[in-house]
Amino acid sequence: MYSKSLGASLKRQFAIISALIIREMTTRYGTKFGGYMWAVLDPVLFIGILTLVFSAIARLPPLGRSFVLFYATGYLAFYSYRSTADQIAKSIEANKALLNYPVVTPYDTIISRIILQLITLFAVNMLLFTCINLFSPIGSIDLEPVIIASILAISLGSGVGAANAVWFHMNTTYEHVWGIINRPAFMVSGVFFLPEEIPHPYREFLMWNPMIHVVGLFRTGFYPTYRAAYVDLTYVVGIAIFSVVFGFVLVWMFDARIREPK
Amino acid sequence: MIRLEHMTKAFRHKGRLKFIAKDVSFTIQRGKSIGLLGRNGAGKSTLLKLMAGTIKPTSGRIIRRANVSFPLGFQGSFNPSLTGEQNVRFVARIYGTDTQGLVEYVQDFSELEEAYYMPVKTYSSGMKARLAFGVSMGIKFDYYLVDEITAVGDKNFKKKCRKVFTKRLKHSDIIMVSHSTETLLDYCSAGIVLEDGSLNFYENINDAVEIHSQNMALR
Repeated sequence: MYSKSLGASLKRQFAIISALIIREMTTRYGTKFGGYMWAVLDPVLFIGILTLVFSAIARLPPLGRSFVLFYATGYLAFYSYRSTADQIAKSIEANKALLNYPVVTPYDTIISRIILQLITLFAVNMLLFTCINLFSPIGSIDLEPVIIASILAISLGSGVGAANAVWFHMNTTYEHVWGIINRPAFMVSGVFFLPEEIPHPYREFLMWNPMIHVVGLFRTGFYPTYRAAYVDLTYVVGIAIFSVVFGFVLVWMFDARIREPK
Repeated sequence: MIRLEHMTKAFRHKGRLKFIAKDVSFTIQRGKSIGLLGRNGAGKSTLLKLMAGTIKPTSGRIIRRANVSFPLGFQGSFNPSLTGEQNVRFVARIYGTDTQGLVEYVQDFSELEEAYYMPVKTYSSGMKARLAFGVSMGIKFDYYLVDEITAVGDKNFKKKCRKVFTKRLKHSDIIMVSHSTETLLDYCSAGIVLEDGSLNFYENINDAVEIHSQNMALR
């Protein structure tokens, strides 16, 4: 585009991103069954299965008395990361045809999906915790750690997703490998256990995984007595910022490649 | 104005580098319509996309001080599950034009009647093409990019398209790929010939057409 004032270009950018969001809302999360339903059904089913299995083999969850709350707090924090990473990784490929419009850039497709994720995850969290509160009262929630943990999870997901949008485009083998090694990621992210229960050398290994910290932080908002002393906020914030910058720089560096066929 | 500065575009084909243009620099001033000529696979469509900015040069740069369109009649972006009207609305939004104005213009232009409010997947290819052409004509650009004008619709509709397009070209220019020399001579004043990885700019379209026919006569 030719030179325009900053205000005018910001306004145009905003118009493009909101147009993409509206389009994605009406198509991907389309009108047919599925769509938006899966954004809710995925965590509902997963939390349901964890709750069923673990309430059958244990008398009490690792924290509090409610099984469903323990697994919901674990999985929703993890789901914020995982679903964002998946959605962003596919953002450019899914909107490829739109890149034929000179005004649409790969960044627009990424940013519109990040905003869409923020809206969707907020709705999913509100819905699920409201429902859980109905049959197993949660008590008071400290929103600050919950919001910080959610923002960290979404940032990590955005960075990993943006980087993968580039890597997946350049190498299909990597896409499969990533899928396989990432499948058990939730097992080492403290979704169904507390890091405090893990014996000595292994706990230190786990601490390298930023999602352990995010899940722990998320839980402190729901369990007033749980301190999660292992949470290293500086470490996670550092990793989150690094991953976002790294992912976005990668998209910028390979702008020419991602516009060409695989 | 569109300016190419030391632009090189190459891509890998079966392990070998294939050049479309090597270190070319020239400026296209407003008021000139350009025809792109070259044999099949010479890179005419790629050059068109480079000028649009939807693909990037390997090195060098392209400076655009103009509002460049998407390919005329482009329909690849239409989402099949959205209605014609919803798809038009999307294009209006990303181009920041008056949404309602464009929606009404295209409805009138495309003659789709009630099909305008039906999902695009129910359209025939002719209906899709009419919708796409309507969108292209409904937005004002400095440069219209044309990759082979394909005739759309029946005789009357074709007449209308030609009339509207000619009117648009009073204030806009065109960059066009076509195998038909008549069409190029009709619309363009200058020309670019692509041959074996070299790119030459000619101020006069007649020269470009002549060089191109010489190239074609050689093999």
